[in-house]
Amino acid sequence: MTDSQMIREIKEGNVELFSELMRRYQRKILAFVYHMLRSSHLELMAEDLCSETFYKAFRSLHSFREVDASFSTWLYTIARNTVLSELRKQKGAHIPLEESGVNPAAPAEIAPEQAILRNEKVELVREAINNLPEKQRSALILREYDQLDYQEIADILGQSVSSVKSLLFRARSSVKVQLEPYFYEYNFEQYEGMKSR
Amino acid sequence: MTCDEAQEIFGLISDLKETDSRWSELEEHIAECSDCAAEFDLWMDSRSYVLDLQVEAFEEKAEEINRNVMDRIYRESPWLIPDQSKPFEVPASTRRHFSLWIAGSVMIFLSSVLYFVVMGKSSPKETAEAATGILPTGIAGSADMSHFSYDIPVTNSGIIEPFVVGMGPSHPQYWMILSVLGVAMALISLRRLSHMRK
Repeated sequence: MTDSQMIREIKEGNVELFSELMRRYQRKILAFVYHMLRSSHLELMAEDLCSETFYKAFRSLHSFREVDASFSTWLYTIARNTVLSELRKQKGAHIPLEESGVNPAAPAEIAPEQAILRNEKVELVREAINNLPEKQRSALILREYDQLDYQEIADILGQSVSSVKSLLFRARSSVKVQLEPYFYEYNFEQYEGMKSR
Repeated sequence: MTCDEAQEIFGLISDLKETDSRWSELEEHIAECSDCAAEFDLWMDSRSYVLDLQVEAFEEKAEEINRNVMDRIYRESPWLIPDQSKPFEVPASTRRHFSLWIAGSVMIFLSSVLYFVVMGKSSPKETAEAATGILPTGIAGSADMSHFSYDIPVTNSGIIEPFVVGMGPSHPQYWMILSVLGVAMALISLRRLSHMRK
């Protein structure tokens, strides 16, 4: 059954089908929400905001028109607006990393020094993504983590395809510039380590 | 490919398909230009760092979200809960018969309303003529006096005709009862049908 058929049946009263429709997209939307919140250390809210996204989608399903956008694009748009609204509310309320509880744990076989380096690297990348302007950050997440194509990203962000390319270029460039000092430092440490052996 | 051209596509190189000719041009260029090669490494390293943060394992969480959303929908809109006590599946033909029955009942109702509106206006008013008690004047000795007569109204004679009271419903009232029954039957049938369709 296609999305369109499912949506038509849901609109006709078969509400149970919405659960099935959610299953098709819930992992993608949850991942997107998680990545959007992660840079702000608000990952714990990802499930709530994902639920909110799907609930809003159900409530607005009557207004969804497939000619305007695919259901997937429409869902991503709702998810992005929900996250942005929450981020605006949380603006200024910085949650320390230790309290988020979802800092990626280092694998058991990694030595403590390497685990520290890994956490440092994770924190640097988070910070670099968090420092991006919102549209650049959304474009980067939708492209790198959700693997959406330019057209889909353009529909979600309400931009042209060429603008999306420009946003992606600037986002990647900015992340690279922010990470450069770390690369040099890391390479220098590796070089020093090799020299001392 | 020049250094400027290489710089322009570094940021989008990861989006290019493997078959894209710009890949091979870039590879040729960075093989010759050490600066662009170093820059290219930085771009690719930073991208791999970003990709390292990718999260995928969400199956359990996703199912939990699914349940939460459906629970919330049913909690806030209880009428959407599917009826689990449905005793049997109603065949389509039965549902069609119910629909015809409802349509017929509604038609009876509409017809009766129309009947009352139209027939109610066209029935003559049974109102008695007002008796004034003034009699026409006769002139004694005039030529046509021989065949002159007074038409004395009945009410003035002191004898009153008995009142006629219509007992029991007349023909239009049967229509009224029928229309009310039709509407009642339609509503009961509709309720029963919607209950079964859940």
